[in-house]
Amino acid sequence: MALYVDIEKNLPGFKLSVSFTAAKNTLGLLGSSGSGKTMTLRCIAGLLTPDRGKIVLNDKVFFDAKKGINLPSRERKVGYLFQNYALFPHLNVEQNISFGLRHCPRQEQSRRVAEMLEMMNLKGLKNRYPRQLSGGQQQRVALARSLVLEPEVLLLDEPFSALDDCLRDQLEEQLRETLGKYHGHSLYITHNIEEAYRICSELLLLEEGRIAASGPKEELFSRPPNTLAARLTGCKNLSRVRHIAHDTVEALDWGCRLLLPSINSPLPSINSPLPTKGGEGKGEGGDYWIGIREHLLSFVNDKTLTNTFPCRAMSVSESPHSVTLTLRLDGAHNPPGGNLQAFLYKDAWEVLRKQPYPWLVRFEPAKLFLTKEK
Amino acid sequence: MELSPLFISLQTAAAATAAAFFPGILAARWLAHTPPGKGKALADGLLIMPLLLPPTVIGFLLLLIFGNRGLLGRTLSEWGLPIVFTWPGAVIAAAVVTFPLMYRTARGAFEQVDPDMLDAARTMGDTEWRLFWRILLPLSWPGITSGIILSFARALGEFGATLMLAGNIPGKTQTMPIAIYFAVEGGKRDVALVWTLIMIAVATTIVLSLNYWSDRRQNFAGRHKGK
Repeated sequence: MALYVDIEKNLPGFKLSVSFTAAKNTLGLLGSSGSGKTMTLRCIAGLLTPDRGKIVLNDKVFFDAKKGINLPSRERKVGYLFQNYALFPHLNVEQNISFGLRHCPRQEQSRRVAEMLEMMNLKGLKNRYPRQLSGGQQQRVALARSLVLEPEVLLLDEPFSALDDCLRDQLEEQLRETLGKYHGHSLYITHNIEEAYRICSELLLLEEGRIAASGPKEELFSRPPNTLAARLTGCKNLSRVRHIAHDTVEALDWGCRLLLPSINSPLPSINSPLPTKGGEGKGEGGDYWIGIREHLLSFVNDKTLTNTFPCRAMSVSESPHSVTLTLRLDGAHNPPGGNLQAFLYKDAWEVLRKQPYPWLVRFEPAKLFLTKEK
Repeated sequence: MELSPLFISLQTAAAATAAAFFPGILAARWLAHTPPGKGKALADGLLIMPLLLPPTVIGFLLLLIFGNRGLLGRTLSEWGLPIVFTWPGAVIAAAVVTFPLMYRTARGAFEQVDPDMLDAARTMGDTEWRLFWRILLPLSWPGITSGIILSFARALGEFGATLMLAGNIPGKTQTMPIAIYFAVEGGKRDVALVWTLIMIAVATTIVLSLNYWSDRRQNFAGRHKGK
């Protein structure tokens, strides 16, 4: 029971080339706008025809370029939740939900619509028109309209992008609940990293029409397999490295030497071979990078701790409850890629800001990850 | 005064609008969602040609097609359906001149419809034909109505092509614009003035109803946007 996708599509200035298999849970497609997320969904739904490849759901072939199979959208039984919901404005809630049930006998139609109204908490609204509904209600109608057809795949294209933040959190919980009850495959598109993490169990990171990485979300966030995956999962601090000793690297972009976690550390990628000193060109390292997430940098008072360096802030950006600092290590002259970002909650920031320079920033070895260039 | 030009005009305009309606919306449907390209530009150019050419040119071309020497004209005559100097001739002339207006307004209205609506209907099992009737047409209906009204107005004012193909036969093919022309030519200025006032009254009614419909359209657009 799986959705298998392996497709290519060429457009002027853009090439989509993705291949993945989705098991029965919520797969998230995470990527910036223009990375090909929506295009992938449209290909699965049959609204766009790939140039090459294959799309198979369970035993049903949706598309096979070699065999010349291209099932029209209406025969794929795919639920699609559009970004702006695409409710039919000239039909009321009940008519919108029963839109796809034309083939069923009257009685069954009204039974299934009533069931959906109940399940999606829309009972009192069945005679309203879409323009008379709030954004959240519109979303529920759109979801009901798809689910009533019992689709085997549910495709959700940034369902929260049309809503304001307040409404979002509330609806997200409802949606998670609905997806939990749903027994088919669901594919969830978003450019919001945290939303993707909360809703999906597996993630697919897309960039410029290609898959940068995929896997269980926990793994992708703690050990991104390459720099692109690290950036797409929100890691701001990445530096090229050069191997100095068996457990030490020089972070070329930050201008410091870092002790790596011990061999028994939970980071298996540390065991993979590092370029030796001077091995890569003129000792520029190149293939390997080190990273640390901005909230994992810590500020300490003891400069004898490992991986602790004096630094100062280049700029400060304040949010309501937190602060993002741009740091430069003392003695690092014009790091090329290279200021560090640190994330602090306001209370920690209030303490830190009163201390005189230089501050001491620590890269705790267990928080570091090594990754490959991509 | 003979009132037949009023009725002939209204009948001709109504029949011509009806005749232009179906080909107009089908052409609009066909081109509205075709991706841009050379073929599309060419097809569009051909379809709006009657709007760009002088009506006398249309009239002459129609004479070539439907005249006794034209292939179509000869065949139709043999079947007992002559076109030249008949009321169907007046309808054909007005329909051809009117067609581009119907096509263009309908296409504009179709292009206003959010393509996601059509895609949504597709994923819910609708065929192209069915979603045309269930989604596209209802959602663009206000725009199409103004297309119908505009076409009717244009057909009502048709002079050149009608005169060339259908002539000036009182009680048969003499429409109001033609009656005005021949009244002035025959020195009956008062008759021309009466027809002119009637034409103005009809045109005013059309403009008012057009505004009424475009108001309706705005309401609809407001409803459309949703949140």
